[in-house]
Amino acid sequence: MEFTRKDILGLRDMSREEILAILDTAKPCKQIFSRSVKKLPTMRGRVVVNLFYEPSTRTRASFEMAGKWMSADVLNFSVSTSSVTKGESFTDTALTMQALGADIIVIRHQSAGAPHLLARTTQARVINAGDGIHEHPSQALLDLFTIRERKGTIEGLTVTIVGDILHSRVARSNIWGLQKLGAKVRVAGPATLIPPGLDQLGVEVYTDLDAALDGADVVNVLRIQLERQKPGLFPSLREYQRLFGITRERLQRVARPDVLILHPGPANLGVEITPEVMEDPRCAVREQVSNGVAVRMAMLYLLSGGQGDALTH
Amino acid sequence: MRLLIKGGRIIDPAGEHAEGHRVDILCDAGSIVRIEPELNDVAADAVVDAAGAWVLPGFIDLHAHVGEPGHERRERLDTLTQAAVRGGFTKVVVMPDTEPARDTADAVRALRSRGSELACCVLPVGALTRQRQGQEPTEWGELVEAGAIALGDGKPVADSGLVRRALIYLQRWGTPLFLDAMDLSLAGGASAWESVHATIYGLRCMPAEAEASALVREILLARLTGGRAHLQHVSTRQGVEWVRWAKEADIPVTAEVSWLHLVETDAVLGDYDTSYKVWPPLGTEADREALIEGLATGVIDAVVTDHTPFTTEEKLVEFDQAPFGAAGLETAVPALWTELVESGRMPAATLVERLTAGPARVLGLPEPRVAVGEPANLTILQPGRPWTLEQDQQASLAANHPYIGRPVRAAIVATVVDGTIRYEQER
Repeated sequence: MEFTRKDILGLRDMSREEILAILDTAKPCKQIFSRSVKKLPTMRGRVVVNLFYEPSTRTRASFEMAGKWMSADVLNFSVSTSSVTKGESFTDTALTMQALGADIIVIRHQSAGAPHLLARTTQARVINAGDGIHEHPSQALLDLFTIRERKGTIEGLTVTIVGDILHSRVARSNIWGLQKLGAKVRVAGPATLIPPGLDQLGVEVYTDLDAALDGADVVNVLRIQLERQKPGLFPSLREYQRLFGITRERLQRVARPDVLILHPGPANLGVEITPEVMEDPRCAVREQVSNGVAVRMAMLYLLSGGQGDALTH
Repeated sequence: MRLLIKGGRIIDPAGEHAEGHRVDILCDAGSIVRIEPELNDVAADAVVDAAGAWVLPGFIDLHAHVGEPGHERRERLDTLTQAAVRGGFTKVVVMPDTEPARDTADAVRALRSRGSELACCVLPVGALTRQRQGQEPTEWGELVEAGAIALGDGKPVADSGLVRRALIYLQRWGTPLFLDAMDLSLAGGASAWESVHATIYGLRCMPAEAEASALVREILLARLTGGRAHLQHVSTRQGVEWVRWAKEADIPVTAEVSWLHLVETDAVLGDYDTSYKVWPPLGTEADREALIEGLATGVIDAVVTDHTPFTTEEKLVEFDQAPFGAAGLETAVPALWTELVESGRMPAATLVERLTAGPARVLGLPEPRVAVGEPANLTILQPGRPWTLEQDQQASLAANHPYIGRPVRAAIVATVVDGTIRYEQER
């Protein structure tokens, strides 16, 4: 299909076909960077700006590698909260990026909707790399890619997302993507970390992890974002670990033997997931990192006008 | 100045004029002097053709914000009152959130003295506490005697004892206390109500109980003291229920609702357009239904604009960092008429009552009428007429007008203040 979208702001407003186009394009991308000579000339002369208002190592590095392997010029621009409080306005920064020649701006921001504002303000194409607690489309796409790779298909699977759903943009993007590709979505976490209205979205809500894992094909374990936790949302990390930690013992007791474990990283080892599970062959956490580069190459490639099938020939 | 209004039909909720009779109205020296089926032989300095339009008592807005002094780029008093008359309002109550805050008798008098040069009447609210900090009381009696129509801080007051004392003290003058009922400790920096939309859009949100629990406090203090508590911008279904309960128990409270909450819901927040980020936040469809019902049945006394102007640079920012508020003076009534009256959801007379007699009762003013001997404050509105407010046409300086560019099916034809045409739309 032709990919005509100007920006990638979230999976909620994307069609199933667009999501599949990205996943299908990511496949040859992954083969390319598994080669010893990784560079492709596809984005030569294009400028990708990583505009990050929140600290991030992995997502930024992943977009940077994705851009570089396609020969784009990548500029990393981190905006500290101090310059925001100094009065440097968001739209001024956006227009500066445009004046610097940005073709694609990859933005991470603590405010939901900031990528939408950026997309309205500049002519550059915008990729949302995480906005507040709203969406994180590239993470969800790499999760979908990983599930497809391991399970063959997403249609008909049951996927359980565990953790702080309330503050999770990864969870929201995953819910949209999984539902559009035909999976059944469950979420599990402390009741204080479940946002209102999820049942109206067709999501099954669990506060008992064992029940949520029963029959699940995939478990996506969210990072407990210690920096985002206001005191009192759950009693203690120790209790969280006991009630919602993914341990080998729990998997043996209640999960399907072929369950696939995902984690967006970086993991709080011994809190939401134990080191043994991280190293378990059923856990795809390392592949997720590589798949993330492939998916982001596909996003950059399609947004800069590439045709999905051109890479395979 | 003799002004003749030809061929309009009167809606006069506070009077005995039957709706729908075609009349001519003659105003002289600021008063209505004749109302007759046909006035052909009178000399007039000006004539307004009101054929096919309603002639209504001038609207009263109980709740607007102005940037003068302190933030004149948001809105000045002259632009505010020009916007008001374009929207059909002949009296506007302005909150004290200027800079410095309107917390002294001098500041109230200074605003009152501007009267003659402005397009319509401006009624100042005096701050309840010094610098609107919610702590030290201002000189309440002096503010009232200088001309404050009501007292209030224009933001939630946490100190219940202070609210109690003000409700007792103000009874000597019969002055209402304007209360922004919200428990900020439950609100916690939210910009939306808890709902499926807030979850989808990733907005920080708060339970309706943040409003309800604060409303209950105000209602109980009004019952305790017998003082006049006016509940500003009720915005949730629960809020309406508590106000209904208070009124059924004959507790002396009045309540208002903002126009935007009657025509929009939180479904629009997904575009992150900060013109829709208002205080209190837009509610769900169930909230909107309850507010319309509350307004129709009189549980809510008045509909207000809560006109809160901001500049482009203040509003063109990330959604959760934008200030709360929307401009509305110029579009509130045409939008309400379209959504409520043209759609058949509310009789025209009911909406007019909530824009005229309702707010007058809240302020303790005489109910405005279209009748001989009454002041000639009149609004002429043409129902069904397609109209759109374009950015370059608005009188307000505000950059945060949610209804810019949105077509409505009702237009303000002319606004008459004290017998003078202060606005007339080109036809």
